[in-house]
Amino acid sequence: MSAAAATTSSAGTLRFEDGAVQFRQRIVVSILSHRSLLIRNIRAEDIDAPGLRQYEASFLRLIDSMTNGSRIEINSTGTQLRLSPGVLTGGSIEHTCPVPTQPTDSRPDEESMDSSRSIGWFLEGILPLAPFGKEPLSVSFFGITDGTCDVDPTSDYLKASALPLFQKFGVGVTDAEDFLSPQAPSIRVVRRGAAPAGGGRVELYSPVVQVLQPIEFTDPGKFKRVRGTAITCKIVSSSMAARVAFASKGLLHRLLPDVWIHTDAHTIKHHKCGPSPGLSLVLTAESTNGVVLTAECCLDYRKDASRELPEDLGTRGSALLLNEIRKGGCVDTGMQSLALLWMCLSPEDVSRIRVGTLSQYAVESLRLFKQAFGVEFKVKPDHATKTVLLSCLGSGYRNMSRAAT
Amino acid sequence: MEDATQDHHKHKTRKEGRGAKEKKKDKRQQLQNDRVERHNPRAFSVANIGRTKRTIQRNADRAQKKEYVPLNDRRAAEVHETPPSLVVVMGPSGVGKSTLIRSLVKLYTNYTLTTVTGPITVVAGKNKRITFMECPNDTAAMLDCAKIADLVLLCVDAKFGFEMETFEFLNILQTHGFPKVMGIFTHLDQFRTAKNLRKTKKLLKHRFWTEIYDGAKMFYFSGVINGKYLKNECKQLTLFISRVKYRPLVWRNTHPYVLVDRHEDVTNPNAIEMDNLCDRSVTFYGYVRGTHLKPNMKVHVIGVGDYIMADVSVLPDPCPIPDKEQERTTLKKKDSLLFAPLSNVGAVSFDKDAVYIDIGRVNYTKKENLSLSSLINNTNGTGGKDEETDVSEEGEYDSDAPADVRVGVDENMGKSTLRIFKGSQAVQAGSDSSDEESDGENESSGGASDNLGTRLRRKAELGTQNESTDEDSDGSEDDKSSCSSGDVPDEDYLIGEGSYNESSDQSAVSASNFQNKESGIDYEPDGRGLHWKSRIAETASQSFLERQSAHVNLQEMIYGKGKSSVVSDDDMMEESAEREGGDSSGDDDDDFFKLKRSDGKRMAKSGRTASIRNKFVTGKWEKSKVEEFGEFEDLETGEKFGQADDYDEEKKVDGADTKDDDAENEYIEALKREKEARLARNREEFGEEGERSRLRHEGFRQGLYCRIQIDGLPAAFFESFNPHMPLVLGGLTPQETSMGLIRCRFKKHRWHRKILKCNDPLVFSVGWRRFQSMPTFSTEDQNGRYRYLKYTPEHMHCLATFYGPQVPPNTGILAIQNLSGNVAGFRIAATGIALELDASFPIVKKLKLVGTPTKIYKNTAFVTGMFNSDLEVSRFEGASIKTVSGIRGQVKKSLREGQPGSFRATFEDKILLSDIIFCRTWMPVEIKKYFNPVTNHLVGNVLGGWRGMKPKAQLQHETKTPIEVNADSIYKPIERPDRHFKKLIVPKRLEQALPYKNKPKNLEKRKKKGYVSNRAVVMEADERKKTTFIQALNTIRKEKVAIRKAKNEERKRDKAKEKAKKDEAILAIRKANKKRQYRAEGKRDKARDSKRMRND
Repeated sequence: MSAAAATTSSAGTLRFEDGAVQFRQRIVVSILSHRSLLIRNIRAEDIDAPGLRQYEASFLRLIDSMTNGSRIEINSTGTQLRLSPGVLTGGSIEHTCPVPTQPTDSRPDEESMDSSRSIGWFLEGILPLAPFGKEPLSVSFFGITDGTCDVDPTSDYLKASALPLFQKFGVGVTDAEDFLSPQAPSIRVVRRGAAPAGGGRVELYSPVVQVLQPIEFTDPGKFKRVRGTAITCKIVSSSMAARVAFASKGLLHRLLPDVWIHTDAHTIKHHKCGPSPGLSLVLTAESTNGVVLTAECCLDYRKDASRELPEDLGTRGSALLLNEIRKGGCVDTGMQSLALLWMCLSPEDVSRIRVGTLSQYAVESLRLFKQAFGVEFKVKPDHATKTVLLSCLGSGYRNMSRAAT
Repeated sequence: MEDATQDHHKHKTRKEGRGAKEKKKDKRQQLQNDRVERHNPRAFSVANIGRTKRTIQRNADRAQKKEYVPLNDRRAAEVHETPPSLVVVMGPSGVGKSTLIRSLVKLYTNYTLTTVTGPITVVAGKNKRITFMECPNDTAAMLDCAKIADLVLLCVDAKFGFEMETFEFLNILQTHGFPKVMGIFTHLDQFRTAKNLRKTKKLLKHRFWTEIYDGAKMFYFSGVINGKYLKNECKQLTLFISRVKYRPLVWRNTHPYVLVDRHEDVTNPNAIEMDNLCDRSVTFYGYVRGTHLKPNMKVHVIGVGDYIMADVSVLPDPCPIPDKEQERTTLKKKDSLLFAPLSNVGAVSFDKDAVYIDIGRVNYTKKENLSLSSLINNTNGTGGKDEETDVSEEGEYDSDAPADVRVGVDENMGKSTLRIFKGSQAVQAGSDSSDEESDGENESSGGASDNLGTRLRRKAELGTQNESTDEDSDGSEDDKSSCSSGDVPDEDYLIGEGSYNESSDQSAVSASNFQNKESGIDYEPDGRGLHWKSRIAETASQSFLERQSAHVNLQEMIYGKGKSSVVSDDDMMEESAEREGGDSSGDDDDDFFKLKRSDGKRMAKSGRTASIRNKFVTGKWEKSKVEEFGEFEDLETGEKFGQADDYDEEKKVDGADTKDDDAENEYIEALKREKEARLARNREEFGEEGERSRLRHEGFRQGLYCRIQIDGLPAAFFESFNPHMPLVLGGLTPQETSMGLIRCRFKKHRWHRKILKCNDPLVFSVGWRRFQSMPTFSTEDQNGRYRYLKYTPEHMHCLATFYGPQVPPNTGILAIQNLSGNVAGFRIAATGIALELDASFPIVKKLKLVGTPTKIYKNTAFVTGMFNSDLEVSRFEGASIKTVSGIRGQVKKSLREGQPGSFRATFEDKILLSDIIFCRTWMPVEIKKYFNPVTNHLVGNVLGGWRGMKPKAQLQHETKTPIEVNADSIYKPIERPDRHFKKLIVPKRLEQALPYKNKPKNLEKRKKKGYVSNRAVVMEADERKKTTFIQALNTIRKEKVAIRKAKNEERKRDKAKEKAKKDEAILAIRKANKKRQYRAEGKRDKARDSKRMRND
């Protein structure tokens, strides 16, 4: 009787009935909070293809290879997922992200695209876990790197926007004098591969930390420079990239003289890129206070998409960046949930951040964090600047998988 | 030894050189009386450059040594927010622990305790509170006390000397973070001679100092008068208690904990009636210590198990520090409160919705004698008629109960509340608006615990306010979405829910506050209560207008009750329709192909770009605009903007400070400043918006007096409750609730008698928990392999891996073999430190596979007996093997024919058929997943307390089972028969054909002697002469040797005799010594036994 009373109850399970919503975030939170996860009704209404998609299964495989002792159970239809998280191990991992089934056809229909996601999707998913392993994490991904920025962030975007956040939270802060200090986190696009055929390769490296640093990130400062890259893949005319860069600069020069946009043309020769063509633009604005805002856009590769001129693409990219700046936050809209999650995980000190517009994804994330970590943010709208101030007391998370010496 | 006056080396004075000259000069000056005395050492501090340099260097080194990276201290800085410091009084039984607490309490509060049970909190000074806890003489209790103590008063019977418990406790303290320790030596009056006393004191002091640190504080208590120690000596102790500076300990800096003052069973009485063994709901009361206690945290009730807190709420402090406003330097006698609910003091206790008056025993009184009680009832309670009838049924106040009340009646009256209307807020006597806050807390979840099933206790129920808050929450929900617009929450909606509900109410209130600020309408939320009805229409219309105009509260929108899945705030997410941002949209599957496209042309219009011009360094942002962005510095121009004046001043002051310090201290100083800034931010961030919002964001911070309800405790908890044992709730981070394998550095304690066996159960004390588990010992080889060990090394560290709840690396671990039972020796078996957590650890042990050759070719052999099947062989293809004689080889391939598992192998040389072939392999060891929490609070003291799994040896001993023996493991005498090699036989024909040099030459031994032996020797004369001479010489020599031998024999005999005599004398002395020693030991043991008997 007494023993039964004393066993640890499994009441800590995170249960969700609403399917694959926030799929990656929930898995990540489950692993970080050491609570088992149960997701039901994953596309249960979809008669043609119920259950988990191929890329979601692939993400689970990635998570499995990153941890030791995780138990992942999926029922026969794939509509229910049960995950009991293990210990994050890190180490070097290779992961192949699924690409559409007909790589020969350059423009597959939407259904076959359902099974694939770009590398950015996977990368964005595991970024919150990266610094909490036993040893530094280095993953090399194979798959689509470009051309999907309408749905997923690309690796370039994450490199520009997430890595400054890593530094801000004290992950891999290198010290030139201290040769024992960890290597800085990095995301490296080794080979480009545009959607749909993919064929690219991205490498992620992240050192480990014991605890994060609480942040005070409320003043965006003034934006002083804009950098960017116009990337072409398998497009013969390299003037396309120049046209994108030119148009983009046209808009930005009205506000700032310090604008540099590089052109980066990849051809299939010398195995520099995958077999699909692509054209994209990544822009980064940096402020006096170290705030980095990023925007990206690309050509739509699908059959029915309306053709867009490179000039239009350039202007659109700049407009997106300016819009991001207009919102007045200290982090990108896309990086909000990462920043908020790590604020939850910081030591029991107050962390503060200013965001422009609280994205819907971030709002859902906030609810998830409350459920998983019990951390409730103080959300204070700042009417003068039309921004939102978020602050919380960290949950005191410590990277327990890292071994002591 | 042989010579008493040993000749030491004499000091040789220098006869020449600088030293000699100086000496000579000095001597001369002395003689002439013109020596200059240098009286002022400071004046000549740099007279000698070398020495000055050394001094400076030494001082700098010492200063550097003192520097340390500031520890992360999470204890509250303000006195009013700190919980009482916890002083644990520990010692073996019979040393005077209770007496010490009694005398200290008497000194502090002028109250004489009759029993010392449970935590006793006293107000010890104007800004100091102390909780005393007596640590019972029980291993589990010692473990618990060591984990929570801020200061330990270690009591030692000086007459008897140190006992094992003291050292055990010190060891426990060391592994669980070392709090401050002060020694208390009692029974000093029992020494008869002053010399003996002095000697003992010195002895004890040095032993104590080696255990703790040189100069650790100690106090000597010489005698007892009226059951208390001498007042003077106690006063001295209190002086030092008040001066103690506590060190932050890592575990307590990261975990909240509550030492339970008292607890109540709040299970529904009907449920208990139905089933006496049903799971109970229990409320625990105590101060939160450590860090913030989060409402949804799991807590470990030490000795019971892990539980989720069903409800946490704040109660008014039962033992508050007097108000700050009073301008007094000393404590008023009235304010020196005592709170000891388990020690029979203070018959009145305040719950969140009731006041309990302990009447001690059932004592029915007649109705007409009820005048006093009904008076109290009216002031304290609801005044309902049904309550009064209950009173007469349940039992009544003892007539002298009020005499026990520690708090004055008028103060009680001041705190009493009265609710006039059902559903209205209770009115508190003597309360003003500043008290409103805490009152609200008391009431808000008032209905939650209806019908608390308490025996012999009456509670006076207070009201629940809900309707007024209903208005607000309803309103805010309306705003947000259409989902909750229709249903108006009724009373059930709010009553009977946990703290979450409470907080949602609060947020609703704060929402209305927020709106008020915006719209500028003067509306007092505190004005609720009695007059709420009169203003209902007004407020309703106001709130409607606000809803139309004001911003929606984002907080409420995100965390509110009926949060809708689609949140689109028109104000805050202005034009959010135009972009969803770079995120991969809320719903991963549905929005897969939603294009986030906007026409850049809109932005391209110059009017739009102008609106954000000021966000760039090139923009026109003058000082007037600066407030919008706060202060900053333009890095390119070097200009500074905003709040320039005071900021600069501050900087200057800082700079002046830092300039004074050494440059080396800069790093430390910077760390300290950063820490200060962080602490200040923590204080300010949530403080401004009132207590409730603070609780919501932070959880329950330290120093709050909390009521924690836990459901599902087993009924055995109440049956076996012992008020003397400390009851601790320790907060757990989510990671610490999951199970896994823990690898730790482990060392057998050098005082523990036996080495520890692998897979023998041990009771571990890690973090808050105590549990039994089975460790697997291993050691790390040079190549990083973890090799299994059967036993812990005698004097070395090893690694232990066991299954249990995860703990952060670097947490101290303590292992005890047997918790219960009176063990004579040192009970702590081993100590260690957690190194790593994982789901599996590769521990291996050596496995040698043995095979024999069946057929041998040149360098190839067929081997059988090593494996059992072809599959096994294929697993080991390429593995290196070795013969006993040292010839190395490799497994090649399995053989089709022959015994299954036979294989072909190649060697570096031809092997013999008689060779044995080994394959050295490593086999993974399975780590036993055994975890059994020590639930001593559920077992009580029946059958000698909690008993876990017994080690195998003990079971074998108890059941008289012989040790099972594997016949293969027994060492047998090795029989190595002599090898008989056959004679080499060369065929006759071959022998004949051989050349002579190769023919075997077998000369047989001759039977007859040769003729030479029979010949007589005839010598020449001079030859004979020589021979006789030599013979003579030999004879002389032999004679000499014989004589010498005989003499030697004689001398040896004499010497042996002498030695025997000497040995006998030594032996006699030794024997006498031993006899004396054993006699003393026996005496000591006898005294100890008799003392133990006395105590038991």
